[in-house]
Amino acid sequence: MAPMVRAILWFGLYLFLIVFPLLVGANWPGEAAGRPFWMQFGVACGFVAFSIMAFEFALISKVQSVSSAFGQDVLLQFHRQMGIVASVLILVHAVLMFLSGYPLAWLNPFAAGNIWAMRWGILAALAILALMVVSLGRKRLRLSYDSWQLTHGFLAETAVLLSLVHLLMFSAFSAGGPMRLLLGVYCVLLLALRVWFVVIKPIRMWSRPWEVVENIPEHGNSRTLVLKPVGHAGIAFEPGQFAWLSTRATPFHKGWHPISMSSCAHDEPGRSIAFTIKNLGDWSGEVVPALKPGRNIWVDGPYGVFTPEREQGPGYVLIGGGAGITPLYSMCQTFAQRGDARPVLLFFCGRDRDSLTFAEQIEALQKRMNLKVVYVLEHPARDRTAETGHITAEILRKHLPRQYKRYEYFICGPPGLMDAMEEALVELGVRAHHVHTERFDWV
Amino acid sequence: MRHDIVHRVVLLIAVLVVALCFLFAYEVSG
Repeated sequence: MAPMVRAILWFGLYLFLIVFPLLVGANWPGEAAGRPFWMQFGVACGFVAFSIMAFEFALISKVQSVSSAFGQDVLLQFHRQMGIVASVLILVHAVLMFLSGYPLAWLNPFAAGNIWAMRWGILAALAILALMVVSLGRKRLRLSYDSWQLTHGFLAETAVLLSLVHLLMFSAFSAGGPMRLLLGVYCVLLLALRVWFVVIKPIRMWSRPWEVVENIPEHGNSRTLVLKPVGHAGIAFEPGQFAWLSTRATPFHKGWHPISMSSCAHDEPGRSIAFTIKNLGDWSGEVVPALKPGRNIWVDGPYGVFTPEREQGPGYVLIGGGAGITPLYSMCQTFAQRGDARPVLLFFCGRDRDSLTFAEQIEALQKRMNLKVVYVLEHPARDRTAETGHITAEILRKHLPRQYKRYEYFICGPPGLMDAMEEALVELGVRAHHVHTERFDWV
Repeated sequence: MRHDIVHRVVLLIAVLVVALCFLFAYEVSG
């Protein structure tokens, strides 16, 4: 099935699932019928917020059919923004319900005389508030990625469970059989997804370990891990894709990190794959440098739709900086290995020449393929061929070929660079469907 | 660019949800 068709089907199913409780409630209102308008509106907000929260996990559970239709980074962005929508709906729900006459004293879950159904609801709302704080403020709170993953998972599960109890005990709509049946079906669906994600998927990965062959220090404070599959055929990937890596004792542990492949994409089974990881502190700075050859590692992938395999064009423009050069380097190697004669123009951005990862390798690739590299350096020193400063629309205009509007554009790097380039390309008249990005700044 | 589309899609869903909540409340209120 074509990715576009699959995307439409999955999106339609998602929309249906988040609003379906409203259809059930409207058809079988039971004793809830006839209450004031704004109270019913508040209840509706509560039901939709619950459905959105319940299916938030489905968006990030790395189901191949879903992630290959949208791209994992888009799904994570959607997950994050729908989480904000759910939180706003919960706030509206609470305000309208209290304005409809519920005693304000019930806002305190520990107040004497409060009912349990309300206590669960308030505690669920507090869990969601904490979830928002740790998700939107992870960097300010200086939470490590691993600690954040654990906290986020715990708070999210607590919030959904408490909301469900609140719904079942409190809402007059849930007193009827149809709504209870619907909530039951949602619970079974979520439980099945959870079992698949937490048990079945790790079991399958356990029988497919990878071994560190080399751990190579690179320029730009990065390291390349070369991994070989042990007792299995490994994975076939497309250039530009990424996988989730875990260095924990088993694949059942949390602590997965999204890392781009930096080696040439190939279809032959059993071949080694390289991943290049920039030192950003915690895991990448402490655990990765200490990985010795022979050490087992877990690989879940490939993921991502940031790949020229799906976007064929007469030529390519690659714009990369920092760790973002990794998927672009994989693309260049793959073009070179295949003898692809289409022109590739790479804008390679960084602080100075020494800070660029793979600069020497990419220089060497220019002899094997139709590749032109434009360096854009903040401090070019004596490098007279490099552009100075940050990359701009002017620099792009100066180097782009005449047919540039028909080319495919791949941008990967720090958020500032990606935002600036998306704007610059619009300014240059490049149509949106020719521009492809991969963002890893999820939290 | 796909990320701009996500913003718009989320906004569209939010509008749709509010409209459906209104319809729901209109249907079941007294």
